[in-house]
Amino acid sequence: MATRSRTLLFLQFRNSYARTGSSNHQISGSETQGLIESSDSVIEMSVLPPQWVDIVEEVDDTLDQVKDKITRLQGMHRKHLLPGFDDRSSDEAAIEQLTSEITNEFYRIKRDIQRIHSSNQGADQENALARNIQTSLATKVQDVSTSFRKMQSTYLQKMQGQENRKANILGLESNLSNEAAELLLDEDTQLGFTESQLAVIENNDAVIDQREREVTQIAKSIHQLAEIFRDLQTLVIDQGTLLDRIDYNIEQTAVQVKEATVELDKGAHYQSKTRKRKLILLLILFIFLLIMILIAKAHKS
Amino acid sequence: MDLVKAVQHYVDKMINEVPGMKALLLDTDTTPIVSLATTQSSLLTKECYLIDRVDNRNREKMRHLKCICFLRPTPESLRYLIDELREPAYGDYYIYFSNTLHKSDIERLAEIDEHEVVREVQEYFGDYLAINSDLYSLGMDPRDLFGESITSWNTDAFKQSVRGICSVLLSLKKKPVIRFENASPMAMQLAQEVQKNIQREGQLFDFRRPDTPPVLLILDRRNDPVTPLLTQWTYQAMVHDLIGIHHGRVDLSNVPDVRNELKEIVLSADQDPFFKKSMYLNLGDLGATIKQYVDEYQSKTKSNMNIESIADMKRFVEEYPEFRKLSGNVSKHVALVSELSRRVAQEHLLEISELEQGLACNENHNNDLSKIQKMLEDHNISDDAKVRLVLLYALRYERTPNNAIKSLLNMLDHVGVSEKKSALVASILMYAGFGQRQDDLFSNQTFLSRGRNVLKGLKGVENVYTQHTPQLGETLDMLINARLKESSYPFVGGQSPGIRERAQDIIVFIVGGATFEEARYVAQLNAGTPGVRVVLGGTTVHNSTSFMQQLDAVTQKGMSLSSAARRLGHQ
Repeated sequence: MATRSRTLLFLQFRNSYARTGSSNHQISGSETQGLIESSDSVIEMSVLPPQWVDIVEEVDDTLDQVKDKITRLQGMHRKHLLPGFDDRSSDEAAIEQLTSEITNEFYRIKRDIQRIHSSNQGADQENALARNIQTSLATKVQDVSTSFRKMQSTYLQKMQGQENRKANILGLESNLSNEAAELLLDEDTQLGFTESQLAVIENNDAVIDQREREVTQIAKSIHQLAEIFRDLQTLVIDQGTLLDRIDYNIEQTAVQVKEATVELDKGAHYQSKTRKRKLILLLILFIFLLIMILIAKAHKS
Repeated sequence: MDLVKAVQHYVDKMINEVPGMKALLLDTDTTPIVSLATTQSSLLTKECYLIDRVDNRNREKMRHLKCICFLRPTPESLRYLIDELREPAYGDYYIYFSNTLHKSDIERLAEIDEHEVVREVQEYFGDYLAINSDLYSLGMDPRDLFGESITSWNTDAFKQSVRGICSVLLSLKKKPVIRFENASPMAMQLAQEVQKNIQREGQLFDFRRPDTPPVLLILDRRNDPVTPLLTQWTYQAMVHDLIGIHHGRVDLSNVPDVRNELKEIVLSADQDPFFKKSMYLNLGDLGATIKQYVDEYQSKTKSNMNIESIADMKRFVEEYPEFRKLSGNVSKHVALVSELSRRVAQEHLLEISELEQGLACNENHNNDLSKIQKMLEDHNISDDAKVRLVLLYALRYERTPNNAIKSLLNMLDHVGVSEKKSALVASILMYAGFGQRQDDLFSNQTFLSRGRNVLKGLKGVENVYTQHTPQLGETLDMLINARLKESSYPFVGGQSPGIRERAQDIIVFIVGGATFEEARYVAQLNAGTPGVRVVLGGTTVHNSTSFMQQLDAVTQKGMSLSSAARRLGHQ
């Protein structure tokens, strides 16, 4: 895959031309030249980038942040899945918060992407550019969000796995305790649960509730992401289709340009037609006026 | 030695070297080159947001974009580039040429660059269409190949061939020894000019020398006119033969009741794993593979159908992109294969192909003749197929005493085949008849080869429809085993490397076009022979239609030829 750079040679040539060019310039134009070049030649309005260029940078930045956060979240997930005995509600809260932050950021990115469109309706190329940028950003976001969703769902699975295992263990215990309870019941049916048993049950309920809340939380975030995903999917090009071909896209723009010129021609045609009509109308009016004058004159005489 | 990778490498390199938002400008020649190597979406992910042609003058000014130009250094493209640089629409210009650039052109560009917008001028040698990893084409029109006579080059085609071959060599980093087909003046002329070019650009071709030098083998289509005339049965070749593949795109708009999004489809081994797996399978095996593919798809749809719980939904959304991709691909291949089998039935290709293969591989004059006569009278067989049969007959029995070429030509006239088409029979004998070929194409010239042929016949054939192997196969086998005769395939300038070595890296170029049947042979050779790497290419990639166009150009060359044809036809 050999390459050859001709830049140096090119620059040499250009420098030699520039030198002769600028010396000419000094002789001919140095006295008439202003100190500051007239501003309209320096700044052309069309040269300024469209406003949404900033959005692109913002989205890229946010996406980088999201990636950071996702790696951080992954670490926290891993830590949280390790068995332990200390109180970890603060960890859970942090995970929850980070997850919702990421989801919100995805939302924001999606809104930003949909905000990108050319303000100048006539500019075909700018429209094409805006559309291409949307596609490209959407593709990037899809990649990140897919990885995020995969991560979430594995975490969810593992959590549920733990739960099941716990349930199994608890189930065994409860079987035992059921038997014990039956025994107890046999002995003194009147008493019901003891205080301590009730406390255990309440405690269990609380833990189960909390787990359930976590699970639904994650499921919700997955669901939200799925929505974003669906919205953006319309922007992403399906790989392997004709739409993904470069030559096809170029042909399409060429066709569009051609159609546009045809439309323009038509418009010009219509316009010239109306001009003609106006002229004819004016002439008729003029003739009419002259006839009136003629009649008036005839009357007078 | 992977051509697609080589071009991809070039494109990636030029896109990656320029940071920030950018536009890509291409010309008519480089558009298909880039299209075959990469996709719109992959360019978009690299912040290349605008892709346009340099000859489109209606571009708006966008100074915030950087511009990458990838152009073939033709006078036209240079002119457009100069226009562009006079009034630059973009902020910076990074100009890449697909071939070597004249110093005077660089000077002209430097002179015009008053705004000093040009940042880079580079030569990236991706000046060929990389169709498969081991097949390239120079994408030339088969009608514009010949110059004054049918043994001389059209000047433009010659220049482009030399530059194309050099760019293939440079992109693969090979400085080869060149061998050519002795009987072909066109091959000889090309080989000598390529050699001169290599010597002139000595610095460019200064690569690390391997133990055995790579070989550039320049052949001429006229040595094997049979291969492009045969009906093909392997996937890629068949699609090209029956429908036509143009720069990886297949036009299905003539297919009855095809869905709108399948009017035109893309076939790329690089982007489509199923096609990569099945491109060399014959239609029978292909049917089985595609059945498997559909089953796989079906099981996936089933698992996607029952979305009942959140878990199901989650799984669906996760697999959704892949699922979509799969469903698009499945429907594409199913549509294509069903069209192929429809055409096979409609055009009686099985019967025709059996006869064609018989003509190409075995000698049996009376039997063949009566079969051809029967076919010519059949109304269900297309004119082109009839002409192809007569062409094959004429090639095989050209030297058989009292052959029936004239009576077959009369018959063609009689069944209403146009004179233009039947004139091809005389053209092919002129272009690639016995006197023009150097190898024993039909293995019927010496006692030894006849014997070998009989032996081959005794072994029996696996598949009647694919028993033919292209002449290229034998040539390559001999080259790999260092048995290729120097008298028929000499080195340029007599520069024999002395020691007889087995060739390892081989670059083949066929003047007058390669075929997908040969490409398949090369791919199998590459897969089956460790240590040997072959890439194949030609001025174009033929199917029977384009080869007949080339023959038609032969007819047009020189009135004497066509009048001879008429004489032959009307006697």
